[in-house]
Amino acid sequence: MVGQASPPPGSPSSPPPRGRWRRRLLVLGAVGLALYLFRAPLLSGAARLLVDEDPPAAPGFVVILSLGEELSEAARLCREEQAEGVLFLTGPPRLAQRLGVLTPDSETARRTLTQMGVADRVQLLAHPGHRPWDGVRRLGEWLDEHPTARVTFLCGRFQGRKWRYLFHVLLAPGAAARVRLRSLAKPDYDESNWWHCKEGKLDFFAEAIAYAHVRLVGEGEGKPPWDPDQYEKSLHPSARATPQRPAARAGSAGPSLAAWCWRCGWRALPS
Amino acid sequence: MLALWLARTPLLTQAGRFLDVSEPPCRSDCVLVLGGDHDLRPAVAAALYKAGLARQVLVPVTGTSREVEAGLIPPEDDIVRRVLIARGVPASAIVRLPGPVASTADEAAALSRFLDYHPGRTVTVVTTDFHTRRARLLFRRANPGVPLHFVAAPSEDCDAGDWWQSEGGCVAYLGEYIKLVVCALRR
Repeated sequence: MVGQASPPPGSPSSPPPRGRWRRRLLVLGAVGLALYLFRAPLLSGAARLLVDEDPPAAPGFVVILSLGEELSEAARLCREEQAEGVLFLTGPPRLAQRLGVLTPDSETARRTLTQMGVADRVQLLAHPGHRPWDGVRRLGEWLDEHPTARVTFLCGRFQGRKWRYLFHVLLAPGAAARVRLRSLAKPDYDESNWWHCKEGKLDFFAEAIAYAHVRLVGEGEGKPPWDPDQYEKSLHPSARATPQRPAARAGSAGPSLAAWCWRCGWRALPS
Repeated sequence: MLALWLARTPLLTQAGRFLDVSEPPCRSDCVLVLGGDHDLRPAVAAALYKAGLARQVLVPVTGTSREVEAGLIPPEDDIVRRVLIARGVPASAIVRLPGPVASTADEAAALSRFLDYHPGRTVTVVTTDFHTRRARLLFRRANPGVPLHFVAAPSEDCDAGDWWQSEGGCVAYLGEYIKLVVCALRR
């Protein structure tokens, strides 16, 4: 009795290795060609996943987070009586503002809106951190204080899905229902053509990562601001024997642990 | 998967550290402040100047933006210059590198032009910690054979040990990896 032998290489049931690789390359090439030919619908479809907005509604307050297009749009809505006023959500001042080099964003917004003919219709909602979670919490407090008010929240074109998720997580259902989202497109690009310019690519990838972060990681912890004076002291000749990394922050690990990490070759200090 | 999950903190920390190729501060003729952050980078450059580790601070002239054109903020190089002065650097020690620059590659080219007129000068480049690897790649390409030192400024809300815990950190570090790959492929 002779055992059944496997088909020899080259028989119809088992193609030779070279033929197999050729077939795989052909499939790969076909997939690559299809992706290239359908890149426009695929890329715009990916961007549409990040876009979320509501249809226009009755006048209410407009919420803005930064200067730029949002500010101009808020002024336009106020001038056309489509908004009662502007709520400016702002975090603590950055170093250049603390040094007096730059005016706080809230002051710039107020000045610019006054120049645009929308004087005294700006309310400042300051919050303690720079994370979007802090801003939404502050907005939630304002909505609780104004139980009948409705707001239109202006955000970047690819930020809508992220803000919607944060409203859902952080605001009471009644308050979340009073917030309408409007995602503003930049003059240079929107979801249909973002891959044609560098700013569009940077914006899309940044907002895709940001959305994934809020969904997968959550809030995270804020950090105290970095202290330039402490860094300067560490560069003083008497302190230069053990150079301190600039990444060391006030309120982070103690100096002995930091020095130990640095001597052990750890490139970043633990926080 | 379980092993990866359990080892996520050292793995992600290592991934963050990979981007940081900075060195401890050392003496050089000039400190170059890269654009993109007008708060912490100039503060670190000012500290190096005040510690006697440099005689001049170089600031590349940046391109304009919509906010600048609308008068909402001054040009970035102007803000950097004012932060340097506010932190104690005399105006006479600040040198503007002709631009306009819109990217790290442009800044490397601006330094190259400066060194053509000032050969032999040693330069310390100050940029954010996660940006040092890409900056070093681009500056070495534009300035072959020139000894350059890279000193890290901290990032606003994270460092290599916790970047994945904040939204800004994730955007900065993952975005930097994408840019690094693009940069390495575009030789």
